[in-house]
Amino acid sequence: MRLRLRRQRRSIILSPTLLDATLKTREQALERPGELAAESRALLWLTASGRSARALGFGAVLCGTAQALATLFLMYELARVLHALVLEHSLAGVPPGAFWRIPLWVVLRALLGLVRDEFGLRAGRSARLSLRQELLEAIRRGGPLWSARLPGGALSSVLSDQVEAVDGYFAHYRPQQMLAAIVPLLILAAVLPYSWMAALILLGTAPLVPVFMILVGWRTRAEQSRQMLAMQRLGGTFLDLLRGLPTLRLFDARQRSLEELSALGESFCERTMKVLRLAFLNGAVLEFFTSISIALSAVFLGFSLLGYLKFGFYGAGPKLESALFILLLAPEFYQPLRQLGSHYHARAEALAAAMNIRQVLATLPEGAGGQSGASPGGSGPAALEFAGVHLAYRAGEPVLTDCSLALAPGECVAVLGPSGAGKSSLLRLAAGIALPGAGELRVDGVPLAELDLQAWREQIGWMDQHPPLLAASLASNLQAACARAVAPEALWDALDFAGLGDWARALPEGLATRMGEGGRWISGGQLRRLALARLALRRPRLLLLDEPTASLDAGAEAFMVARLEKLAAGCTTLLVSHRPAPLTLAGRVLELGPGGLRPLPAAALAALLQAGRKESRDA
Amino acid sequence: MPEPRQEQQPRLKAILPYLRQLRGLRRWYAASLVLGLLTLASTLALLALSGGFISAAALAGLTPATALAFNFFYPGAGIRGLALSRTVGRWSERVLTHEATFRLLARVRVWLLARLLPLAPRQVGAYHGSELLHRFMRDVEQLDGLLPRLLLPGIALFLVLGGVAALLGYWTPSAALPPLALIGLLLLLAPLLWQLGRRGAQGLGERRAALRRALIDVADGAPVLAFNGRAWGEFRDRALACSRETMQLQGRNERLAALARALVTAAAGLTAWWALVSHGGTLEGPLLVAMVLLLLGVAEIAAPLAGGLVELPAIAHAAGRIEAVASQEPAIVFPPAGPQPADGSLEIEHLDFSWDAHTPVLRDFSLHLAPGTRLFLEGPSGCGKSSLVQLLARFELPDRGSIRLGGVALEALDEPTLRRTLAIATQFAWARGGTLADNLRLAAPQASAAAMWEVLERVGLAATLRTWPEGLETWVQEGGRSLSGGQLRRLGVARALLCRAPFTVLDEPTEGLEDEAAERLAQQVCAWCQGRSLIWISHRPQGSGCFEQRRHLAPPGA
Repeated sequence: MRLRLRRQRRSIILSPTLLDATLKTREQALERPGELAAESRALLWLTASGRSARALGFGAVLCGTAQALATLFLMYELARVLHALVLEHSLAGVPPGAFWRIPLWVVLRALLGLVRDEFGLRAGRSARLSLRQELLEAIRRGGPLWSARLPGGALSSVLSDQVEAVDGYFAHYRPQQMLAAIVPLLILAAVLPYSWMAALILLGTAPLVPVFMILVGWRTRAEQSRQMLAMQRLGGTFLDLLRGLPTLRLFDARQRSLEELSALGESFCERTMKVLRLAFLNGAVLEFFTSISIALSAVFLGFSLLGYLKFGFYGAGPKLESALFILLLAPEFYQPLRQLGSHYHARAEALAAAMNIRQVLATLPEGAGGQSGASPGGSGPAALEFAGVHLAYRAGEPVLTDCSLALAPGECVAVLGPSGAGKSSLLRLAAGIALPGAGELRVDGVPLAELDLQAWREQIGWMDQHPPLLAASLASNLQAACARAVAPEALWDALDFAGLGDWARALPEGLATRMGEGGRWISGGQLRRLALARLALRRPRLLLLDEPTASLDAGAEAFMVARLEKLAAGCTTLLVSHRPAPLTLAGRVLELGPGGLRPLPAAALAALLQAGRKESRDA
Repeated sequence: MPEPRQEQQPRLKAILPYLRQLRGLRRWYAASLVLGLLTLASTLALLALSGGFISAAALAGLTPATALAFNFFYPGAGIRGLALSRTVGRWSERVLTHEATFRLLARVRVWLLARLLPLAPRQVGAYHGSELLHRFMRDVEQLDGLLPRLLLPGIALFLVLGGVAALLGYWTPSAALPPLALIGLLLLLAPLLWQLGRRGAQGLGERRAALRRALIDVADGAPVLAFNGRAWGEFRDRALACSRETMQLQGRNERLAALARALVTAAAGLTAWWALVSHGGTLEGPLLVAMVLLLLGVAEIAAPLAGGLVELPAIAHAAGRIEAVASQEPAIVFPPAGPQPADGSLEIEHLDFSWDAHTPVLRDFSLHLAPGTRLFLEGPSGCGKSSLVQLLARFELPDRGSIRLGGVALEALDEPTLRRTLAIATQFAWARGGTLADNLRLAAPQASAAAMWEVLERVGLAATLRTWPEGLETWVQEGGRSLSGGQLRRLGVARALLCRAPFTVLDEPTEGLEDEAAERLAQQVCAWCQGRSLIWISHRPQGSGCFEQRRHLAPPGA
């Protein structure tokens, strides 16, 4: 019985074959040759976007080099002092001054490290800040249409987490990359005057390091990404289950989800370790060469000192002093490379982030955000004309074909149509958020393409289908719609107008109440009213309403329509709706179908309005 | 997660529940600690032995006689052996630590999920945005670094330093002093860094959250901000200012870490110098060289660890936040076993409910449903429809009144019985990362493909699904992101129908559907639930024709 129960439970565990399959395709994608090119392009882009950090990065390299020099001097003095102490067995033989210079070099070396870290820190900070600035600028250029078409949360994740992820690359990895080339050469140059053989030992093991690193790294690269992928998957599943906690409870799937998560963890562990064992050979190679160079140097120096080996030095045999100096420097030779290895994950993280950011930026429409044109003049209701407008978001999938429509100043036109017919696109075109593929729009007779789009948008009142709630105070949420700072009284008036006044007055902190994430959430109906209050704060020349009463019940819908009627009085209005109630606002109702815009037959309109009235009566 | 009442000072104790998860992995960690020790010891010994060896060789090489008598076999073999053991030790230690960490990671997540599952959704903050869950995830990830980066290397370092002190003390007792001084310094530094880092960790958490909020605003506020250049500029500047502030605080911590590293590097160098001053001329030459090299080698190991100590308060802080959520006792406890409901009847008597003291949602609500009745429950938003669903699911408790299901009080039912009796599709449809079939089987583990197709047909998803090449095996992304809003909602309804429970409750099943489609869905669902009880909750009138009872719910005060 028990056994059967177990087996039954197994059956609902996430189909493992499919999981494997999706993992595999993504892994294969990582190993494809094209991916390497994409990676190096992303790296180039990252470096270019971190220009502002370059000088600071050089500062870090400079300090690192100075630190290496201090180390050289320290080791030199140390070798001299030890030479005297070992051979003469008394402090008296120590060269004067050398003894006291040791603490000096020790402290200087530490201080230089401190300064170097400071430079790195500032480099990372500056790179992150400029990247964030650049992205914010891209968001402004891309416009709301672009941000709305990105998958949910993609933009905010790029702005926060992905930007943070490039820190280590600029702060540590890049300076270390240069130091890994400079410092070993410095040490080699210091060793060479003492013994060509010792320099040869260092040099002989060193070139092998990159070779081995490349060989092992070849595999590691894919494997590291695989490890990251596994971690992401495990984290993703955990987050997924957390989000679905109520649903899991409702279907009594608690035990099942626990078992699944634990099985998933197990399988990820096995899969990932299989490849990591190989990947760690990379670190082992470095460790091996560091050890080998110390061991070889020690043995060579020891045997030379004993007189068994009579080559590798210039002229006379070695002195203990120079032997010690060489030995002390042997581990320092590999130290920068090892540090580079420990910062390697920073590079991987930054690379992944750069690829993500580029993926998002790649969708940025070309030529968006024209801010060059003339400022649209005029006041009072605007005249708007669509002249043979075509629109396609993707090639081959036209949304609007040959649309023509003229709105006289002060007119209110409603557009009906099935979902997906392109109703909202009409509004986007009017706001200059989407640009027509052919045909043109004219505002007061002037083509929109010749206008400063940002200035034009300032003259528009827009009600989105999903009005956003900003994670700021209630006042900021309203002021986001105002072109000038507005007195609190005006905000209260707007709230009263939208029917939110009583609700807002009941808030303990009033206008200062924090909304949204980390603050107070409001219902969908209240959100619409907030959008209404925002509109009331603007004095637009053109009102664009996108499904203004969707998801409202009949009572709220009637209220919304009455208020919108007041707002529409002073301006030109274009509204789209699939609900009949807002149609009462319009002087003209058009239908948007596959054939374009055509007036709605009078009978159909009457029937619709009838239905609308009946609905509101029922309520 | 519920927004923490007050950001608390990080406490070291908060890490303990996490460490308890190590229980089954002790052997793994013991092994990786031993290997870590071996690696460290080999690294230090290799340096010391090499230094000692060439010093001794130099002394012996002074005269040909001593040079001939010099035994170079043991030190030579030792050096080679240490070079090898250091390499092998390092590799196996990394493999072992990683495997143990992976296992721990999976364990911690399972443990947390097990702690969170019995909690009421309100306790987990499931009603709030996904942002809080994201923060919870980041906290969990922050804990991951504790063991491999801080604890294990820390223990290994102290053991090695102790070993070095013992070894040197064995030669000359006074030679143990420099390494002991280094231990003392680290012991002093740890609480100091803890105190300094603690304040930063607290402020940083708050600043990070503010930055994230500001960034989300600029990203998601575009539909409003695009129409107002001034407001856009303000929000952008706010985001950049938050960004600078956060980095300032981060920089403070990083500087602290850099300072700690520099301090330990300098201290290790100075102890080496101290050893020279105090023992130069008294200690034998090769021993002196070995000692100096040992102490210099320690700096390389101790410095990164001292820097890492600065992270400890942040880790403790994260652990504290996790504990605040995970250590809650379930607000609503189900009896382990209870009676079975007699039939699909529902009696709700004089129900009062409010989310908080100021906003009553349901007041004196009563409802009687005979078995097999289909009820259409409508009302404007905010009238308490969804709260009723939460009460029926026992995710919330009523302030007053009672609910009886099939003649049994709701609180007498055990959880499996309640879930079996009552199939609910909530307003917030959720789908998990998995195939469509996986998502349906969540409700009925043994459902056949035919049964799944049947409910999909009912909710009007089957036609769409047939156009997808993989059909039931179509992959659904986490949270149902790859589905449209309407599809996701229908999937939620299909899941509830698949249960074939005596009682089905659907909250706003027609949201996002056109009128016609809504009408059709109501007809199909009513036909499916023939003979079983059904509550259909909606603010829209579509489909109300097929229900036997209709009830309007007015908001309190209206």
